Amino acid sequence: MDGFGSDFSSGAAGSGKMDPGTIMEQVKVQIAVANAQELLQRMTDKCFKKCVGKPGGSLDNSEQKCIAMCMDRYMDAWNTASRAYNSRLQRRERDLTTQLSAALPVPPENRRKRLWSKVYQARGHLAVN
Amino acid sequence: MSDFNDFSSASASEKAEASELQRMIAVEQQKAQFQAQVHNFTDVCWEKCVDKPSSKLDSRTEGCLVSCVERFIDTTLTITNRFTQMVQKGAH
Repeated sequence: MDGFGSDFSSGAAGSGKMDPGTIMEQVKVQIAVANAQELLQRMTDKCFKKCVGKPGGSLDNSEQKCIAMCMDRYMDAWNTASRAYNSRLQRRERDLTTQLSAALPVPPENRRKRLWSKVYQARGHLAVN
Repeated sequence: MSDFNDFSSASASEKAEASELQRMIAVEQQKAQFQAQVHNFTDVCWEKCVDKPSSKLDSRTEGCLVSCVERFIDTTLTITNRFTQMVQKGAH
């Protein structure tokens, strides 16, 4: 445990695991994996319901084709929902920004610039790729 | 031995690094929350809007999905607001 604090502070390449860049990598990968698992689970549920009737001895050709199409459509639907949600969030942020700037007194030029840069920073946190 | 969670003994640069890391992790968590919501929306709206999986998502289905997400959010807000009112009234 003695190395913990000092490894983190040195940020040395040799410390490997505790380097902030590596931590962020691991965090992103874990989140991506969980996201993919969630997608597959729900997709399997939906496509099984839509494509497989009375379960037989195996998946026949039409069922296989249906499943393939269903997967594509499900991912299309996911992207559509994602865009719709993102638009909604951006609209809300725009409305809030408008309300906020209407409520505040107008500061002098240099303060105004700094306030807006803070808004842009905060907006950056809401943007999702 | 410096405990990782004991910030009193950390240097200024260690503290700055740690809070920057916290901030970056919070950003990723927010992204993950967004994606979790999208999973929910897709699940619910698939049931409402998609009948037979076809070779393409036609414009009617697309429109249905977009409206579905919007109305689902509206429903959530409506329920939250009304429930809050109910609780407040009940408290008196």
